[in-house]
Amino acid sequence: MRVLIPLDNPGGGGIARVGRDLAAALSRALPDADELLIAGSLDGLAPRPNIRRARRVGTSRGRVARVLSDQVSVGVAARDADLVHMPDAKAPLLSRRPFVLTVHDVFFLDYPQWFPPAVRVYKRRLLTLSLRRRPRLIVCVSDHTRRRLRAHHPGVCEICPVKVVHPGLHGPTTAPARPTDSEAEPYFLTVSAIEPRKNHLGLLGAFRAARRADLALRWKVVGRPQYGGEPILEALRAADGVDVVGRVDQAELERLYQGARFVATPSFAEGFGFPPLEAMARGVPVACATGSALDETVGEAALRVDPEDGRGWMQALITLDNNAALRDRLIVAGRDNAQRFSWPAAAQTHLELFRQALGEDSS
Amino acid sequence: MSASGVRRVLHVCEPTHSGAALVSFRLADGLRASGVQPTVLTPPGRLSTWCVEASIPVVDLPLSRRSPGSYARSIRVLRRLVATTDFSLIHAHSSFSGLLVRLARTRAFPPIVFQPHAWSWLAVPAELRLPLKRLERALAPRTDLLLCVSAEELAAGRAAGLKPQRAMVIPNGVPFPAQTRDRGARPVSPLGGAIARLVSQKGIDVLIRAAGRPDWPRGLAVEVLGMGPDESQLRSLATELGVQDRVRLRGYVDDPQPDLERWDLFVLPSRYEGAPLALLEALAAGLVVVATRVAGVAELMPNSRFTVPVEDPEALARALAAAIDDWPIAVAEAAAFRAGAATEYSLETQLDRTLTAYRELVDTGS
Repeated sequence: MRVLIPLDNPGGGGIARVGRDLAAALSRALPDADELLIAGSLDGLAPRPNIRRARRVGTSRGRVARVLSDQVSVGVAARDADLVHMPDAKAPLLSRRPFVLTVHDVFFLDYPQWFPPAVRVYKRRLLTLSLRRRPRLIVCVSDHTRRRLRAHHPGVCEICPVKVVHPGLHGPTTAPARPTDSEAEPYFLTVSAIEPRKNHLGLLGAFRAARRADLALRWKVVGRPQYGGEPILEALRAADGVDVVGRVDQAELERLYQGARFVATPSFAEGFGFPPLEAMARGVPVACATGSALDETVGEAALRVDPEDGRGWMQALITLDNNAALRDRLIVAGRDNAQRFSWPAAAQTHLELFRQALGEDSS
Repeated sequence: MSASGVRRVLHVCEPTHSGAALVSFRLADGLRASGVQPTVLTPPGRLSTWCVEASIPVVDLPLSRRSPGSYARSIRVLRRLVATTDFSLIHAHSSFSGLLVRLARTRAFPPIVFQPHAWSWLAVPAELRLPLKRLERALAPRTDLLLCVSAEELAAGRAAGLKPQRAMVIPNGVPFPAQTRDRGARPVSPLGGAIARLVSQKGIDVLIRAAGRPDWPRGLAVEVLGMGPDESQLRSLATELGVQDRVRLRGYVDDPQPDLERWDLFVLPSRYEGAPLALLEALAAGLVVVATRVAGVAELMPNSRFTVPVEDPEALARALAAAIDDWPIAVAEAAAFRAGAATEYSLETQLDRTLTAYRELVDTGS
């Protein structure tokens, strides 16, 4: 079996990172008889003779040019593959090879107001077009995403099987340094893009109310603004007690996790929920919104609050600051929960599904 | 008044922090004085916290709207609770709770009171309205008493073809303080307010657009208290129109009562409502009110000069200007509405009427 995986956006956000992590896990799990073709960089993949880089054509400059050249690259590289796995929900349009899609979320259908009009139309049409090209299999990163996909495309299960494979998680990647003296003041942390979906403004209101009720914690906001993020950033920068840290490298992120009293994830919706789960994997207690995929992935391992419940969030901030026993309990529960998500297991499941998609015996 | 045969009531409420949640809590809490023992079945959240603080038994409902798997679990929890407790009746608050309770209904269930707090089909895209109306029609025979918060809401239900076994209107009530701040003098820099979830229904975008119109009164600023998924878009809209000083989004505020005291007037720009509780709170606080003509407004503010059509920023700006220009009239009108509402829309009246409705339902059988 020869599988092509395009990793065309090495500097991209969460979805690109999941694609790269999956490719890295596949590179370790791949049987010698199979072959993995990567359209993109081989960084992070196991150096093995049956893993090679596919030829890439075109440019990576400019959004439209990149989308087109990505398709051309996949079309050319797919000639050497039996199956193409697209780690995002966009079908290879210039190849007739069987393909598998991964769908991370359908927020552009659930909450179109959170996307620029052009992106919303592009994503909607691309998904429809991708389904019309009849993938052999669709992988959803959570059952929530599968349900939402089926809600918007009720006939999808007649096109192909739709399976749920949870991605894996990484533990700490570097030995964290001790917090510096300047951070002697205790803080809690949010780690996410700054955009409406992540509900920073809702948490800000609760944080202000909690500070008036004598919460002594600061709030460190990690992440960079995305569409609709500017007014959020402006409000965060203007607020007392909030440190907008911006985008940080992995070592700095590990250090911030290490020093945080807890991590808060007040998102209105998540397709999987990496931020709270990665905090759990690092032994940091978590306060997390209810609803969406978080009910499935986070479960009872965090302090759960409705994303629109300002008072609930205010109380959660105060409670997690004051209640060391609760934090200890959540640390244990979080670590246990995070262990459910493993890249080796996800890679193994993908290999089995790839064989099924090709009609091969996976036994 | 005695509770007669009404001993134990199960309140099922899926929203955890909205007006419906507040109403269900006030009923559960208030009727204890009449000997009605409440139990509240709700997802963890603010309502649950209120109940715990008030020593009202509360059971966790594992319900999440976007998680169909949770529906079956919730039905199991509800059926188990009903099987093990001798409830006189079940009071379902909100469309979603009503759907759950009536779907779960078995012969072992006591009578069901359903209070939609705004019909489900008002909150969905046009193509889903008919299916939801059909669903409500199908569930109507499983409803022993339909409780609407306004005559308009009941009329809308009947217009949709609903034929419940019994139906009545019991308006929401709020506590009316004996005295309010004197607002007789025309404010030099008028300060308005709105309390709303930041979602399309509440029309805060219409208010922001009104603030960009030439008729917007000079010096008027409106503070908006509340949070929701549309907050950042609303901030962007205000910035884009250059009106962020005229409409100030203050986000979540733990206790809005001091703000109600501070404000001169209250704005309700909603696209639809069941019976807007925030409007009632504003009237109780003695505020001049400018509102869209949504369900409940005509009953609270009959023939008001300061109501406008929905989705009309120009009309809203003009009505605000008129209220400030004719301030003595607006204040007199607000005082009259408050006096009229003080009995009809007091919490005590709502409790009395609800208890009477419960008794009639239980004593005469469903």
